[in-house]
Amino acid sequence: MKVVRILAAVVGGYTLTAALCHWLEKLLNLADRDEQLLTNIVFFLIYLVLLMVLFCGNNHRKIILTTVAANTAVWLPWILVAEGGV
Amino acid sequence: MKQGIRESMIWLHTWSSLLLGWLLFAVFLTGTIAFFQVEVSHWMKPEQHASAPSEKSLDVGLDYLGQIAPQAKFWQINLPDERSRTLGVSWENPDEQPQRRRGPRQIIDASTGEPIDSRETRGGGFLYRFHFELYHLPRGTARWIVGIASMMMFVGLMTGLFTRRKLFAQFFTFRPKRNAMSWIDAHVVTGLMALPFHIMITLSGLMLFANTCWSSTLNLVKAAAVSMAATVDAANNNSRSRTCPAQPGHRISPPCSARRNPAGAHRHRTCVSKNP
Repeated sequence: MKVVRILAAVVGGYTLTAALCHWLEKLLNLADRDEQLLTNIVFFLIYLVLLMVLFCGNNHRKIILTTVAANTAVWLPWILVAEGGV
Repeated sequence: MKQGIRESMIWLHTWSSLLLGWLLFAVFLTGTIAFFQVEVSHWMKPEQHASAPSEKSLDVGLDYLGQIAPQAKFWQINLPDERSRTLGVSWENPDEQPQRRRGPRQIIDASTGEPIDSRETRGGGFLYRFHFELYHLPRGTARWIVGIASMMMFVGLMTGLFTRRKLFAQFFTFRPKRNAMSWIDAHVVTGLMALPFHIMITLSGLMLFANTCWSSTLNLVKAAAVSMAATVDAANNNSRSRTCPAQPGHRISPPCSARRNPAGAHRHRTCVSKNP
């Protein structure tokens, strides 16, 4: 369970960061260059905060479920938007 | 993953620093020495030591190029400076295709114009390349590894700040006769004093991480979005084909699709019904 939790935190945190940065890009609607620069910088901070948060709790199961739920919550609307042809 | 936030941060600080710390040490060491890569390369090529720059070095270079490549499209001369004592000349012949790298190149003695055939070594260039591409690994893989190590160091640095309850007071604390505590005190002092430098070093590594790992992830996400949209489009087309009021094998023109899908009226689609 501990290994799964570590994987969930590291990989799940990374995918969550990717989705959040993608949403940020989409919502801010910046020029390509600015967009890339912003996400390159914000990415470290978001991933760092997520890692720290995901490693804080004591309950492995709760952390794994939180990671999966957060990923679903962020990726699902994005998939729906993609389905809408955006 | 221990009881309490502080204990969890200590755990994360320890493991994120220990796992790839040995690699980071090699990266820092070679990166630091790479500042002197020109000097290291010069030191490793003793054949070049006899070259002595003078005010006539430019004429020496021009004379050499005039003899060796009189018909060249262009000449380039790298003059000696405080870091390099030799003359570097290169040229491009008229019948050669333009290349990304320069054409023929030769290192010559800055005073006599004699060509110098140095031994085959990458010298300081090896150290420079090693500090972000490692050795004997595919370039992309190595950059991923160094990028991940940078991220782990960033996590180690930031979590280190959370492990101390009274950071300012502990900075001035030293308990010399308590063995383990003495080392921890030394760790706090040296860590805090070097923190700005460590952050800057890590940021440069994280930029590498962003340009390789992160960019490829983001491109992957965007490619997935495009393919997903294409799949959904194809699925929509198929479902439309089942309900399209057309004879088997009959092609329906775009206006038919547009009537059924006003939102996508601008898209040029062809609907083909299959014989059930």
